[in-house]
Amino acid sequence: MNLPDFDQTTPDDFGKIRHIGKDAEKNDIYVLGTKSRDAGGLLSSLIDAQNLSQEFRFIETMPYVNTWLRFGGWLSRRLSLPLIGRLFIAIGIKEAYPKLKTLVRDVGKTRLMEVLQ
Amino acid sequence: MNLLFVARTGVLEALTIGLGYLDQEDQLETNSAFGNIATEKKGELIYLGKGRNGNDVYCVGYKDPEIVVRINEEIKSLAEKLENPLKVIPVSVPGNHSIYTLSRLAMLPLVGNYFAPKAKAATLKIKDQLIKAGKNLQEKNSEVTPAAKPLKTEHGIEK
Repeated sequence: MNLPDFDQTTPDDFGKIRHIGKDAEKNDIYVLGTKSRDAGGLLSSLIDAQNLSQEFRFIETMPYVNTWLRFGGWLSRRLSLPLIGRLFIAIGIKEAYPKLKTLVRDVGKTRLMEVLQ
Repeated sequence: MNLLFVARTGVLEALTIGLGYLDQEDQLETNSAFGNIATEKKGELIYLGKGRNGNDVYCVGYKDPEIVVRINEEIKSLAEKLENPLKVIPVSVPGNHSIYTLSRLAMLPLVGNYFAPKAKAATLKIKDQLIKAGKNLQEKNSEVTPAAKPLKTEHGIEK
């Protein structure tokens, strides 16, 4: 929760791709908020139509956003009540964290498999 | 440049505008994507055909079309080589929210089948308006293209 961008989203941030660092394989890692639960199809077809599928890979994290996170985020960002909202966000993050960790590992594994193949 | 029309509904509003742009409005009701809620749910780009300039034309639905413009610009700015850039054109029908609401209701299990034809009917009600918007965009686009090339006249090149 001490991360610089944690729970800091403003309406202007939706649709902006932000660089957050590089992974062990020197791939650039970005984050993107889409304001929608099901933007996966749109994103992949946007890059396919522009022949960019070799350059980008989108990993969907929305399935890991639980009710605690949703409610806490709504209180914090929409109602501007970060103190109360972050209590729920903390519960939600604790619950989602193991799954997010597995997701990150799986993404890495898939990438490694692609390289090995 | 290839074009992507984005409206709040892809298989209803954006598709109608896109077909108007391509002068294929007579194919609207027979188009397999028209009112197809399963296609809408996928959220993927729908290929409509080639425009007058030979550009590929697509359509898609997204609840906030301006975000698609922003995402696409961000992708383009990060891409190392961009051979087929896509221009995103957000389109909306002022004051008309019923088509979007009906399309969302049509996605519901069990009751969805009741709302799907209603969403189609609501689109057909404003079909002329949507097609006209597509044709206006076509005129605008073809106005821009010749201006990029100098016109040859008897006396040489016209400025």
